[in-house]
Amino acid sequence: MKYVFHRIAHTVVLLLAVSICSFLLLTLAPGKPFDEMRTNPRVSSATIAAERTRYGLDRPIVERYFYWAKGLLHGDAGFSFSYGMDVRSFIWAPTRNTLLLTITATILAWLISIPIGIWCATSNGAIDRVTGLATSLLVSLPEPFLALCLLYVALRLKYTPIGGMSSLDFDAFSIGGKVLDLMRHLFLPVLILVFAILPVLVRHIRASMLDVLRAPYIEAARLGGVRRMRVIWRLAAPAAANPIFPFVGFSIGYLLSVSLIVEVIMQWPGLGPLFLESIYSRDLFVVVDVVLLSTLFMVVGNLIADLLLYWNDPRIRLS
Amino acid sequence: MRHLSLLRISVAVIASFYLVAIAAEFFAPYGFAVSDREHTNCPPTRIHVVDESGHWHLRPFVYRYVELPGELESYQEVRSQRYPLEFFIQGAKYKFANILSGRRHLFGVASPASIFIFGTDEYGRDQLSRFIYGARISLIVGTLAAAVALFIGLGVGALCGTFGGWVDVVIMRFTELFMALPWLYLLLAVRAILPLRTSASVSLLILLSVVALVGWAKPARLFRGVILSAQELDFVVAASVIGGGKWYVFRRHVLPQTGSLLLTQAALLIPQFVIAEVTLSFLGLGVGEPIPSWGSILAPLARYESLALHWWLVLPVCAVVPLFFSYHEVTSILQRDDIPPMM
Amino acid sequence: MSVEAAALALRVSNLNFQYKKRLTGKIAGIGAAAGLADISFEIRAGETLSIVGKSGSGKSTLVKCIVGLVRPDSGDIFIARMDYLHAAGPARKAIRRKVQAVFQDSASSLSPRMTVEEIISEPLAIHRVGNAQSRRERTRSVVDAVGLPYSFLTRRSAELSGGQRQRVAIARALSVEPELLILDEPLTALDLSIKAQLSNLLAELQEQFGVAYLHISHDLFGVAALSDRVAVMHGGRIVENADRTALFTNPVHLETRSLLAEML
Repeated sequence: MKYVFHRIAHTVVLLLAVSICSFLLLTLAPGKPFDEMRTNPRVSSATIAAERTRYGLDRPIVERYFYWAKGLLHGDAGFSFSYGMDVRSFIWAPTRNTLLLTITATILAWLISIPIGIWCATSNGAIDRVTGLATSLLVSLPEPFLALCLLYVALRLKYTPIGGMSSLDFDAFSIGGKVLDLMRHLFLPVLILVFAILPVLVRHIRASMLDVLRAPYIEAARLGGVRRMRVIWRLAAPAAANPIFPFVGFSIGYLLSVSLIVEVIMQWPGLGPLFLESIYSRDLFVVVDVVLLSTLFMVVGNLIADLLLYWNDPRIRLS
Repeated sequence: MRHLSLLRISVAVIASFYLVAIAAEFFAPYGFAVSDREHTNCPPTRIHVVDESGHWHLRPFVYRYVELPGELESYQEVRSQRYPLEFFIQGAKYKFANILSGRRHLFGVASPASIFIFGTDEYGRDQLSRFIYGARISLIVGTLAAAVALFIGLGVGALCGTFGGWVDVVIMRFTELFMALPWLYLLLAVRAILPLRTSASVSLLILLSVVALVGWAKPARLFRGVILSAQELDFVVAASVIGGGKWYVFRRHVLPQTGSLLLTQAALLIPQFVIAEVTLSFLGLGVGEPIPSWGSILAPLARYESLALHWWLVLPVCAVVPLFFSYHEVTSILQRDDIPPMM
Repeated sequence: MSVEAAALALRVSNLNFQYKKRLTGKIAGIGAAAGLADISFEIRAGETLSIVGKSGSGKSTLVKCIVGLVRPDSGDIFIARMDYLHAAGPARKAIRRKVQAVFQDSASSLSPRMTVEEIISEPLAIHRVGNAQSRRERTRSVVDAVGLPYSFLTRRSAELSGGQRQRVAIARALSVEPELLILDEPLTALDLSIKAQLSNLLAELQEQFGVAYLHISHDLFGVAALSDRVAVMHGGRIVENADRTALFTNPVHLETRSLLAEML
């Protein structure tokens, strides 16, 4: 229990530190908000001063941090200068879309890579070699390139719709039709994400499994006549899982990164395009909010990994 | 033995990429900004060895491409005259590193024909030339950023490893921040602080420093670990027992122990940082037009109508695979296992 | 300063040291590290004192204090009649030159990256003794003294046998003409015949260089041949400090008897 508490406290401190850094980023970045308004001759300097006071921009920096952090805790994520509205009023939809994409891909990637990794570790050389070569090739393709390659193949095959998250006549569909439409649109981006992370996961699962299979107690169980499948799934796999758990957090963080690229290419209405757009237009509150959200997802992912490890590894649970 | 020959081949591939990038003026048949208005979105030039009348030619040749009358961006070969492929041909004048000027290009064809191995883009610029010049930007940024990140990482790791105490604790906690958010979000967030539209050289500097700034934390932690354990080695302790000062022992005995980590980290970070540059440029946050980088030459593909129509625009994607594959092989061999480490 | 005091290679008086709780594990490694309680002893020039104690008795901590790896809480250390603990800068470095050490594990205490010549001349370089030419000559003379051929100078430590490596370590220690040489179980890891050879060599070198030995050992086996006097450590204290023959024939403390019993 102490372990769990320690991990949670660590997460909270990390989030706090990231929030301070983000705030510094927000404040110290060149090009302050209202700069554009200032160049507009029809806006008087008094109006700008009033606006600055309204958003607390004339206060000392420490006070502003606490003001901002307090707002954040109350769900006030700041004001978007390019959308002309509160960030919280429009950030929910892209967040949901990104999470839908990333979580689906994460789950799918793990479901596929676990059997493949174990299969490679336990089967003969030929399968292992072929998978090894395939994963090497996949690893050597930079993520934007991988996305473009798969996009090109999809454009040729024309099996799935490309771009966006729903068809134009989405609203006219029945509930089942809507779900089907969403899944059809989800297919290609998820496929790209899965392909991006698959080689990393497969190799680590394979390596960890090989390590465990070399252990004397596995040898003993085999010689003792325990069935092969039982040895693999009941004895070796749970032991091999321990060094793999940190990759749960890693896979979420990594897929968030890749999904940023994929969202931009596929015009998926997630955080990626919003983030990029807010960087282009120097919409700093949005930039910081997206950074904080992505950090939140990642630390939560890491926390889940830690808890899974706690649950699976009796050595930690008992200490 | 197999490993050794694989290592040799990989290093040779990497070295040739760098050679081509450095001497881009010579290897690229055309300049990166030269646009041929009559050949916009032209498919790759076909290289023939058999002519119209069925004769075989030892020297490969090409035909001139002309636009079909009335049809936009559809081309056909003019089979009446052959233009043999020539090596070390006199072409457009260039200046290498502002001192050496020359006219020779590795290969080319006599005008009015032209040779576009990777086809042309929407402005009629030779994709292969842009790919070669793009290698220069991407490889320079990736490699220098890796060098800077390793330098910072080694310095910080040494500081934490030798001094320990609160310096160590504070800095190590600080590095955790860099690993708390997804790397691309971190990369873009750092990029967001810096000005967007600047001159090419400033953009290059920004790219380099952003990538290095985001990437130093992980190597710093690794270097710290190696330095800590190196200090416990018997012969390192012995060196201080025989009277060596702190700095002497560090320089003469501890530092050499980081050598192999330096090498594996370089082989690991350079491709990662090249990808970081490619990603930033792809998203329009790199060096601006017309200077190409591997990221920016692919940026038009994000509009997939153009990808659907012009298949040759994916060729540069395939062309980088040998480089990254080689880097990956080198890393695996250096680490003596084939596990891609966590980024 | 009396005539007798002038001939001391090492004087340790009232040395106290306690490991800070947090650091215990880190410095001491796996075993429990003992502190030091009121340690006092002397070694005359050219003499050999053996300190014997089981692991955890505090003898390695004592060595760490003398070579400057650990700073004692209180007490004094005089090396070659100079106040070591209160010296700083060049003075401290000059004292450091007077005390050199040979360690138990020759394989790990010599840098694998350096040639034998570089290893042996390293203390000369550190203490800036002479010029390159005179260092080379000095290196050759100590290599002669420990009985190694010059052809070894270009080899690396991994190419040598355990006994040869230990000779290199002794040559390195002697290159700067120390007054005190700490022998931290130098023979433990070696074969019996080589033990005897090296033991004889050390005795010869003591004659030749007039250096005092502080010989650390966990048992009494190696001690008999080499030492003039023997001190027994237990729980961070010196419980018995006597002439070699006196200690062997008439042990007073229980710990000494137990160590003697192990010999039989």
